[in-house]
Amino acid sequence: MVKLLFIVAWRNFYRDKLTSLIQLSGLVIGIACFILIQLYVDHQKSFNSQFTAAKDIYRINLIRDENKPQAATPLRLSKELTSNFQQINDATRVSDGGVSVKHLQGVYAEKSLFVDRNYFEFFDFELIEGDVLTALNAPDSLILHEDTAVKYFSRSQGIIGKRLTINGKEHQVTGVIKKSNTPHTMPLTLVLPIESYFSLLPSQAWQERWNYNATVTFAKIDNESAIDNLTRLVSDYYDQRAKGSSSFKTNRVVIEPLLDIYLDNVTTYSLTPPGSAVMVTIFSVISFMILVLACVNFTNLSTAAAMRRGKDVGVRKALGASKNQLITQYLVEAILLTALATLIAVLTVKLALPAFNTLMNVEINLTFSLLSSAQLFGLAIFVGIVAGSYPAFYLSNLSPAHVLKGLVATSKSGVLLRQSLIVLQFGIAAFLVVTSLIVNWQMQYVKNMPQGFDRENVIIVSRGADIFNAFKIQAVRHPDVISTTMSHTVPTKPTRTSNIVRPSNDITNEIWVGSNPVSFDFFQTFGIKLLSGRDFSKAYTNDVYEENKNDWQASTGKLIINQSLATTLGWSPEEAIDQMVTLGGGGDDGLHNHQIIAVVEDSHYINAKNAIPPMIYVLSGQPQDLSLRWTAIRFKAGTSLQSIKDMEQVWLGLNGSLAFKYDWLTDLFSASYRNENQQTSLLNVFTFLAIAVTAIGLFGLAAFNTQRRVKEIAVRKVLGASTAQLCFMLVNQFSSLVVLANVIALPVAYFLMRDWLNGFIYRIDMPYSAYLLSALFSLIIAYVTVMVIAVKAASAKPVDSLSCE
Amino acid sequence: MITFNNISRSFIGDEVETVAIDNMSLTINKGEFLSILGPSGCGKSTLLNVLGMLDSIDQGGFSFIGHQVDQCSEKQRAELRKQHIGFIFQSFNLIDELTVEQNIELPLYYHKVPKEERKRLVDKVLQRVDIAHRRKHLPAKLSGGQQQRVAIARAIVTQPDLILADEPTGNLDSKNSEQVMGLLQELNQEGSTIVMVTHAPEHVCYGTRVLELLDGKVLKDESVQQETLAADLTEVACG
Ligand SMILES: Nc1ncnc2c1ncn2[C@@H]1O[C@H](COP(=O)(O)OP(=O)(O)OP(=O)(O)O)[C@@H](O)[C@H]1O
Ligand SMILES: [Mg+2]
Repeated sequence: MVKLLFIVAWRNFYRDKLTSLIQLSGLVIGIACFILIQLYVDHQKSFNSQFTAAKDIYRINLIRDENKPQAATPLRLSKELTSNFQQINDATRVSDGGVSVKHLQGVYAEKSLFVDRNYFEFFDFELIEGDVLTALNAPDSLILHEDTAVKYFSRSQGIIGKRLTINGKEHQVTGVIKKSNTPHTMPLTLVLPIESYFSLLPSQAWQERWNYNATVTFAKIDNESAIDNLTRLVSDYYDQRAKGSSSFKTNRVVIEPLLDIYLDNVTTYSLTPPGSAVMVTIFSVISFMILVLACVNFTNLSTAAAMRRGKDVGVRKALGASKNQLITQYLVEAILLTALATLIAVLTVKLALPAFNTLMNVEINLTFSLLSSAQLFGLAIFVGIVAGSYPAFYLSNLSPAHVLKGLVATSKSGVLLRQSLIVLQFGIAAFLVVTSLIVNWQMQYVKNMPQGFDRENVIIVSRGADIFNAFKIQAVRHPDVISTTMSHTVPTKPTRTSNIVRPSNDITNEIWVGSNPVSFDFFQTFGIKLLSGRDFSKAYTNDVYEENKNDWQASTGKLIINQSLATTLGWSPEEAIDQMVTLGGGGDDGLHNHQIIAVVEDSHYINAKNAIPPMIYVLSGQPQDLSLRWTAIRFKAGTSLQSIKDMEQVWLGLNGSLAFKYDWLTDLFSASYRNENQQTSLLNVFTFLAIAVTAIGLFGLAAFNTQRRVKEIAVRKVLGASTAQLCFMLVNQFSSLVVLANVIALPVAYFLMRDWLNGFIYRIDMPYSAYLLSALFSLIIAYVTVMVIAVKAASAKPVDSLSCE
Repeated sequence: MITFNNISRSFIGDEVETVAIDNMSLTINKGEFLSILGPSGCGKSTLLNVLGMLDSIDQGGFSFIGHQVDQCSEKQRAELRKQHIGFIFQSFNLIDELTVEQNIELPLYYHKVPKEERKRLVDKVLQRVDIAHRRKHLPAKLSGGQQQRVAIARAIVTQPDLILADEPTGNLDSKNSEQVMGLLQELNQEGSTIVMVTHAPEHVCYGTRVLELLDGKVLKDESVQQETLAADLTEVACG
């Protein structure tokens, strides 16, 4: 009996080859997308789950005034937490920074984490060699990740005790961390004891400062219910101590679970770039939509094919088959088909994963456990039942009399169902088309909008304050170098320091501004245009910014401000020149007046998702004075790699242990949009697939409908209808449905996109053309799909269809 | 009206080539009612399809009211068909989703007849075939005879010069058959040229001429006289 079920299922599959193949391919695409996105979503949610204590670990973030939360906290916070709050079992600090590694002949720029000794009690990485209990004990210990170990020693084993010179000091390898296959939010850099970090500080006193935020603090709290109360207590404690030392009025903390930090893209200064929880949700929704589309195809075609199956039902009923037996037969057929589709889908996913991993910059593997196989099996059965139950019950309910009269195919409810399903499919497709159009346009806009600086032909080199003056003299002699400068921050990176500007006639009016200390030639090197006034110049001795801590009023230095600040102060670029403004007054520094000598155009720091803050630029006399961090070199357009090699030679000639690590400004710029780019391309891919599934479904239904109407088409032709008229008739039956689908879907898309666009500071106006395009596009898709069939049917010779009586 | 000059039409099947019309010459004059008889597979339907330009010919000359059909393009033939020919099929071939009225109106629509005029013509022809009381019905709700009368109405509503009927009574009982045949005879008497394929020799007497085919060739071609008929088909009662 069971065997017969399978045989009949196979024969039916084989008999309706076209329909079955269309159903199958729709299901394959739907299920493959679903599996792929689920893998991705699981991956995104699995960050940090490898750590044994992950559930009890929290990151302490600070919120000061109305600013976004930040992960950077004072160095002393962890000590304060463990000694003053009983519910906090333990705390640890992780700071990051750049180091120069000298090995054999080379000097390499590396990133490093500086961690407390109990680091591995929080983050229990598996070590290939070394002992987690002692690895961080010695001040010169060094722990490598597998890849870094291979980079320096060409192997990952037997290197305990090997030496590397880091920032001029010898370190001994005490452990090698094994590469983990589940993702986490710890950068794969060198790991050094936190003492090494203290030695980089300008003064040891900074370790004790409440307003110097230089480390990420993690705490272990095993009582989850205490978090709310603890947040309040720690906030108050922190607020009391931080208040006097900075200009912020409120200081709060957030205690954030370690498992949540990857998908938190609001908090700044995370150790690794975050993912996006919104996108993960959107992709889950899309994966369900595509699966629904695939189920709809199946249901639609099955009920359409019911006419042919109708006779089958009549005969079986006459032979004494019960309704339940028929339902079983049809459900088994549906489940078998989905099982087959799932199998093919898994293979497809396996093949598509490498491309997907490259696109999304992740490492997802398809592994088969008992659980995942059971899930897949469940998925197949579930989809089979969802997609197959309507046709099963519909078919088993047919009365043989109806079948003989040929009333099945035109049954009102069947037609209505098929039509609503088409509306649903095209609604989803139109929705996705509008969404991805608008997302693409907005992203395009943000990337291409004027950034206020010229990112071509500039390289950014990290550090180098000690050698900068000598370097500049030699560098500008190079025929391909236009200019070079140093600054505290550069476009594409955040402005780290802030200051308060007050109009000198209204001292109580505090304007928070970003501050970028620079050396000469900054504006020329970055191509930031002066709107009025003059650049900093050696010809004027008072340009250099110097705060006089003994007599604040005696501080000197000229200011260049950006246009936003000029506007905020109520001046045109010309009016701002020679005006005096007052700085300082935050915390323990006094007020001091400075003259504005120029207004420059607004330029983006970080990226265009962030608003341009009002900015001041001050001149650092010597690079070390105002801790300038980045060297920038502008080359002539089309310079060769050799010029950069030449720069490296000059650099290393001045300091042999300082790595010349450079990035093109254009690369830094694109990197700041990497997440958006990835997600936009993923959205595009899935929109395309959703459209493909929809088109496949429509194709199947149109093929079926047309097949049903071949005779009618022939008759009409004999009566004088032209081929064009017939095509129009065949295509037209779907166009009102497609229009209806758009009418339903587009308002939904409108409201969602309005909110999404409102989240951007720099945004396009709602592009109504996207809605028009999507409506047009879905009509065209429908027309083309149906036309393929219609043309064939309508241009066939009428005798062929009429003679088969 | 129609001249066939050594017409041939054959079908190339998987293994054998079937000659459906074999070197046939034939003239059909205006006002004739030609009945075609012959055993199954002798080429009757093929001949009718060729006449109606639904099917092409392999060789020979075919002229239709002065047009050299064998030299016409597919498009020109479709136009000729549209302007001059009405079809009646054995299985009626009404469109299920359209009402009686709409079915009849359809060819007028394709002829781009204005709406008012369409209504007038449809009304007229509905009366003519005596089916006006069913005008709003769907074909599925009608008897076979009624459906065929609708099909005839649809074939004549454009006032074609030539009506082609392939076994118009093939699916009907004798009473309905007689009704349909009577209708065709009336149309002929009013001036329409009719070519009809039939399996029933007793229906020959409604026409004016009879053609007997065998294996794609004309076996017999004679005009119908009420007297000769009476002699030939003594058993058959003729109206
Ligand atoms: N499309 C076709 N392809 C191949 N052979 C065909 C085709 N149409 C007709 N034939 C063959 O041509 C011959 C004549 O067919 P036709 O339909 O004209 O016969 P008929 O006289 O109408 O028969 P019946 O009385 O059974 O309707 C037959 O042998 C038939 O098999
Ligand atoms: Mg025939």
